[in-house]
Amino acid sequence: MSSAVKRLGHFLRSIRLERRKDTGRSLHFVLIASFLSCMGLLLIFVLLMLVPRLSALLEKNAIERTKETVMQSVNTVDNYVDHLLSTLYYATTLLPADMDTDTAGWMNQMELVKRGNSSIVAMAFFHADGSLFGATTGDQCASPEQVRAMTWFQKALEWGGTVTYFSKPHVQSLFQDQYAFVITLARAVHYQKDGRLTQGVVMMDIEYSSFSDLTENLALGASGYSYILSREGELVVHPRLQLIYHGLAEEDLNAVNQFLVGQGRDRVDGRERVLISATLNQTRWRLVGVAYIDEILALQNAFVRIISIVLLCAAMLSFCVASVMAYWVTRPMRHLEDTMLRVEAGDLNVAIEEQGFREIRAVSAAFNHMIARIRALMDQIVQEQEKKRLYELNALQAQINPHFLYNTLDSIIWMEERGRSREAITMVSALAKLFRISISKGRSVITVREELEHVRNYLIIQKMRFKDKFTYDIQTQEEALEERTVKLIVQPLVENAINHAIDQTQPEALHIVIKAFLQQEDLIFTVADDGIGIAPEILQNILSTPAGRSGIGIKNVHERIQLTFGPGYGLHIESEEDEGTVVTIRLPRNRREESESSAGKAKPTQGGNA
Amino acid sequence: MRKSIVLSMAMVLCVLALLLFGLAPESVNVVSPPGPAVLIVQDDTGAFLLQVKQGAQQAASEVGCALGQETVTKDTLTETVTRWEQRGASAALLLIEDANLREETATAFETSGIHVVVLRDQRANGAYVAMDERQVGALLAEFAQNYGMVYLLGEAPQRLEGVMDVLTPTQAILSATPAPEEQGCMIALTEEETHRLAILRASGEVTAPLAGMDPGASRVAWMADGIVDALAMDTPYAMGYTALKMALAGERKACLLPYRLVVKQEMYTAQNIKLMFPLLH
Repeated sequence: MSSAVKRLGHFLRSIRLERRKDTGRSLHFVLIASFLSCMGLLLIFVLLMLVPRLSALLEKNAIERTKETVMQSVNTVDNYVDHLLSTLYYATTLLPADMDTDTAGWMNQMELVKRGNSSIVAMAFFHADGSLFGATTGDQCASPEQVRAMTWFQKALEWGGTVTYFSKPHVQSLFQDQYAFVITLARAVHYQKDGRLTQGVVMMDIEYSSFSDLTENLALGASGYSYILSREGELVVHPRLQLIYHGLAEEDLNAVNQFLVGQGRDRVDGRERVLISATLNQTRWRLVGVAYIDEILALQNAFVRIISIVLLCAAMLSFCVASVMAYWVTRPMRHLEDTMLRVEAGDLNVAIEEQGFREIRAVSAAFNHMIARIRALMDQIVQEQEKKRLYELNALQAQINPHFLYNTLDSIIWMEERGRSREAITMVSALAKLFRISISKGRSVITVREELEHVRNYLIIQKMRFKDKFTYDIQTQEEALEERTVKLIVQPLVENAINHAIDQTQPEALHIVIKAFLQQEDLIFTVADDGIGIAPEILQNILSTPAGRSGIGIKNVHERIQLTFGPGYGLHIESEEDEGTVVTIRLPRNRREESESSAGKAKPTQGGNA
Repeated sequence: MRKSIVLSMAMVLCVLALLLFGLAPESVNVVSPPGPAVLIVQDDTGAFLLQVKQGAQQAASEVGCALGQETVTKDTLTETVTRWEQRGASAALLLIEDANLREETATAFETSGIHVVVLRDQRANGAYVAMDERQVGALLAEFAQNYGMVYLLGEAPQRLEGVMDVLTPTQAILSATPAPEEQGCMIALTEEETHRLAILRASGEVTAPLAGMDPGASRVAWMADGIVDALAMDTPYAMGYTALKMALAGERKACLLPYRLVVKQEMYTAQNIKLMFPLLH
């Protein structure tokens, strides 16, 4: 059995060594790595491809929205200007046919118009020479020379009534002590005077703040703003106009002057701005919306941030899921591996719980089947080995009988021929006992008492054969008598002493001492003689050479003991030529069961001389 | 194996933290507005104060800061300072003519940890915003550069130095009021002298062109009528704006603002509206 286990262990160790040489990645690692690789590629794809495109789209959308906001403001200003122009046109339609007489009527009408629009500061009509026809304010007006010197008056006449002139913001000084910060709308009007077609100028002063109010609430982010440029490119409306005039702020117009309509970008104080410019229809002014990129793209940045966070979270959660999945998938396999390692260590009493996926369950079942099969084969081998051992043992024991039986029967015949019936009976009786113990109901293990009884019977027979050629003494320890021993191990040694130790040339009889005693956990037999001893060259190989000169004796006994109890037991021979030989048998103690011992209890034999 | 499970749990915690803090509404990334600022005056100085306040208000609105105004006397000084300290004031602008009261007020506010900027007057070892008196002299002298004779009238040493920096050796410099027929250009170095010369010119007693300092309420009429040809105007709007910016920034420095010269042709333009018509907007 032990050799079979050794062979299996060797085979499994070779497998383990092969497996340990494999430094490849674990399935767990491969599963996680694969999962993460896919997730990483997806993440990279999203971050490098989708997010930039989405950002660009959102940026474009944000700028479009800003543009729409500016265009709405343009429409608002245009509508307001249209309203002002309509009012101005209305004022011209109300001019009387007789420009010399009906001043009061027109002034009353204009007063009503002015009251209807709080942003109108003043309305007036001037003749081409600068003289006042009428005005909504009754204060003293500037002189015709002063009127003619005013830019709005000159421009209105110059443009001939086709287009309304919008002045730059200025302080109106037409009327005495009536100063207002206004934008003046002026337009030439053709009328008949003294039968001739002549020109006059209708003007309307609009509060500057009415224009600035239209643009100051434009939703262009927290810091964004808008301003209006005149057709000459000068600031007309600006939320920080006074600061700019005082040199405390500035508006960089370089970028916006690069294009008339559309959008551009510039950078001020490290912040990128988008400039959206649109022309107002009637005034040809330009309304410019300024929005800071970081503000209008705040939503986009937040979106990208959220996308990034969500993707990162998804990646991390994927790793978690991959880890758990890999753990779950590989757990049965790791269990399988652990079990195989136990088998590798020699433990065949294992079985794998068939769990996990179908494939894993199939592998587990196959492994269990294989282990069961190996176990069955091992049991079969063990049984076969046991049988073999018994056969060998029986064969060894059987070798004793022919030699001894032949010699004894020969002696009995010899005695009968000489009429020594009494001695023959004794010998036959001893032989019968000898065989009874040899048979021992088929047992291969007997008590020390039986073994020594067997030896004694043998010696009785031999003593009768060899007469006074030897004497013997059997000494036993009481405690050792009930110990169990492989049977027929002492008799061959005694036989060997009788056959080889007697010196035919010496008159002294050979003395044989047989002892049985306990030594710690061992049972010891010694067979000592004072014969001729064994030559060293023979002694050296006596336990390893095949049975030859020593007959069936020493070597067979030694092999039987080792076959039964292992290499730690067996025979030890000490011999001196012409001094004698001591053969020691060492066996493990193997005490008989109480029932057995009580049944076969006998008094110790204290030697004896036949 | 166990490591990866532990790592997974750690990652789940990270994910939760990321979701909790990363997706939380972004706090408005605006610097919290400073404490209120106060404009301390000794008395109502009319249009000048109005423009100072407008300028300061513009600066305050740019940073979301409230601006208040207090009139202070020696008796109310402690109470005023304590009140603004309790309100968490961050800056105080002082427009106080009385030098002693101004210094006491400045010291009291500074002791309370409030940044102080003195307006219009200079202050040793302190922050102030004032007009550049030497620059105004140069400005007036530039107006008179084309005249061979220049009448320098009024006592203002710094302004005089500025004038002398610009006038060339070929120009004759007189310090007496010109006769009606005398040619040349009058430079009035003080507001009072400008007022006096404008009256003389309006009455025809002098005919030489006049460049002077802001004479006050009559400025528009005199300039419109051609009685004064050029006026050097201080810029209280810019003073208020600059002072509050300095105070909120905690700057302890001297700032001299330039005067601006207004001539008749430009008196109604938008650029000069704050100078010539401080009540218009």
